Amino acid sequence: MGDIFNAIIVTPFVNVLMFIYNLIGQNFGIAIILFTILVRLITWPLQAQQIKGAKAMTDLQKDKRYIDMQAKYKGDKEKLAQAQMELYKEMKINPFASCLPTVIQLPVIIGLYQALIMALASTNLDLLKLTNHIYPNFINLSDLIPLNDHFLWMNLSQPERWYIPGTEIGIPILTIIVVITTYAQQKLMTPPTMGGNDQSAQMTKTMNMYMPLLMGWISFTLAAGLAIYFVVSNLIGIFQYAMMGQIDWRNWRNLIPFMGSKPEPQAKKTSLKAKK
Amino acid sequence: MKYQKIAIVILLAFTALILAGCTGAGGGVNNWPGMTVTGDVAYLADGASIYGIDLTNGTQKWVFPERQQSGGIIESLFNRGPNYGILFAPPAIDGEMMVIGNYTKELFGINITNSTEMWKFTDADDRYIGGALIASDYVFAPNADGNLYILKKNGQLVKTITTTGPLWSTPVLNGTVVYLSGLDHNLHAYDLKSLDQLWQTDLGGALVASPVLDADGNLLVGNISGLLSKVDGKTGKILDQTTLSGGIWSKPVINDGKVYIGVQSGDFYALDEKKLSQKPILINTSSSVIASPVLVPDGVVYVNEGGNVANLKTDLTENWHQKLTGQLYSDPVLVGDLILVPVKGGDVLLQSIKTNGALSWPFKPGK
Repeated sequence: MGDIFNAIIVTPFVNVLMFIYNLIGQNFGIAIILFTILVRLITWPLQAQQIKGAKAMTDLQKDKRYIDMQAKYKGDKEKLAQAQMELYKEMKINPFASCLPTVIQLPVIIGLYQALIMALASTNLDLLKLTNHIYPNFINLSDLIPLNDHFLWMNLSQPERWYIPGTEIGIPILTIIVVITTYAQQKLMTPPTMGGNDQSAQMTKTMNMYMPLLMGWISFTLAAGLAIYFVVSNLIGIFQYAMMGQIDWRNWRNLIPFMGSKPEPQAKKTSLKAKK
Repeated sequence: MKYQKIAIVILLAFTALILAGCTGAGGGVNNWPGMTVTGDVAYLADGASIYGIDLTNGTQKWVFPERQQSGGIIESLFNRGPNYGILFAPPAIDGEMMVIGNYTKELFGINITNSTEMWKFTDADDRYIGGALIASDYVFAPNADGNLYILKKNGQLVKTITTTGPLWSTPVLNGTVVYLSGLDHNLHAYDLKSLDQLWQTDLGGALVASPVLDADGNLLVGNISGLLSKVDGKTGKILDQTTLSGGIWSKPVINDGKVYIGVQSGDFYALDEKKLSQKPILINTSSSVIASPVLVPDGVVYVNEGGNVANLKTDLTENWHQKLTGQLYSDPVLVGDLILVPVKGGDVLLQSIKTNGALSWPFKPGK
C-alpha cells in the first residue's frame, strides 16, 4: 500500500519539486512557493466543487422550507434530519459535496508533506530515501547536493524560530502567520448565514476553531518548509475564492473573534412565525 | 452535537499524528543508530537515548539521559534545546568523557561514570549528523551548518573553520593531520597543531562517508554518485579513481591488497588496491549496501538494507549468511569473536553474531 502511495503521489511530487528547485537556481523557499501554486492549480477542480457545494448549502439555509423545518422539528433531531434529507433530494444537493473534495485532498497533503521532508533531506536516511525516489533520467541529483535549505531567516528542514538578537527567546513567526492565514481563510469563506444552530453550521464553527490550531501545531513542531506551503496555500485559497466572487469583504468583522456577524435576524423572525 | 465536535477534534488530531508519524519522530527527524565500542561496552545513540551495552552478555549497562525529560511547548518556545534532543551521531569517547551532538544544534560533553553533563556547546546553527573526533587536546565537531568547530576538552571554543557545505561525516586522524569529508564535494585536511587547513580537493560529488587510510597514508573515499577516489594524504592530489554501480555511503575496508566496498545499487566489490578499476570482483547482494563492511578472520562481512548479514571469502564467495528483521545501515564492528550489528526498525536495536555465523545475544532497550 505504502509503495503504491509513494509511486503515485510522493515520488512524482519529489521529482517535480526538485526539478523546480534546479530550474530556479536552487532556492528551496521559492521552489516550495511555486510548487504550491502548481498543486493548487492541479487541484483547482476539486476546490471549485467544494466551493460550489458550500454555496449550495448556504443558499439552502436561506430557503423558507429549510428555515421552517428548523422550527417545526426543533425538539426532534431524528425527524429534522429526515426532513433535511428529503429537502436535499428535492433540491438535488449533496450535503457531502463540500466535504468530499477535502477528504480526497488529504492524501495529496500527506504526500506533499512526505515529499517536502524527503526533498529537504536533512539526515543521511532522508537523503538515502531521496536518492531512491529520484528519476535518474529526469534529474541529476548529484549536481544538486548539498541542497540549499535556507530561505530568508529560516532553515526549511527544521521548525522555524526567529531568535531575538542576544537572547534565547525564539519567536515562531511562521507558526503565527499560519494560524492567522488559516483562520482568515476559513472565516472569509464562511458566510455569516452559516452561523446558525443547525448541525452543519456547528461543525463549521468547530472546524474554524480547531483547524488553525492544528495547522499551527504542525507548523510549530515540523519543518518550516511545510509551514511555507500552508501559508502560500491559504493565501492562494483566499485569492481563488475572491476571484470566484464568493468573498463578501463587508464581512471583515468576521475575522475578529467576538465581533463576527450575528445570525441573520430574518431567520429568527421566520422561525417565530412558523412556531405560531 | 457534542459527539460530532469530539469526532472532528479526533479526526484533526489523527491527521496531525499521520503527518508527524511520516517523519518517524517529532520534528521531522529520523536516522540510523550511531555506534562506538570501547573496552567491553558498545555505546549506541538511537534517538532520545544513548545506550551502553555490556558486550559480555548484551545487557544494558548504562543509559543517557537517565530519565527522559519532556520539553513542553512553552519550554521549547523559549529555549533552543529543552533537553538532550535527538541523538544519532556515533559518540566520541576519551577516558570518562563522551562527546556527542544532537539534532537541536547542541554538543555535549558527558561524564560516563556519573552520567552528568560536563559542558554544553551551543554556537552551531544546525544539526550534528556526524560524530566528533577527540584528538590531542581538542574536540573536532563537524556540523551541518558547514562549520567544523574545534573546542578544548572542556567545551571552550578554540576555532571555527567554515566550509562551503554541510558536514555530515566523522573526521579521521592520521598522525598530525585531521581529514574531513564534506557535502560540498571536498575532502579537507587540517593540521592538528596549527589547526590550519592544509589542502582541500574536489572529488566530484557529495561526500557522506568518512575517508579510510591505507598503509601508505593515502585516503580512499567515495561520493554518492559512486565515484571512488584515492587521494594523496600529504598533498590532496587525486591518485586514482573508479566509478562503481551505485552511490557510496560509507568507507571501504582495505586488506591484503584488496579494497572491499558496498554500494547503493546492492553490489559489493573487491577492488585491486593498486589500480582500483582493474578487474574488480563483484556480487549483487539484492539490497542497498549502505554500511561499511567489517574484516573478520575468514574474509569480510557486509550488511545491507534488506537485513542481510553475510560473510564472504576474499573471492566474494559466501561462507555464511544471516537474515535479520529490520534495515541495516550502521557500520558493524568486530569485537573479539562477536560482530555487532546495529538494527534500524527491527525487533532489536543491536544483534551480535559470532564470527562463525551463529546468532548470539540481541539487545533491546531497557533489557
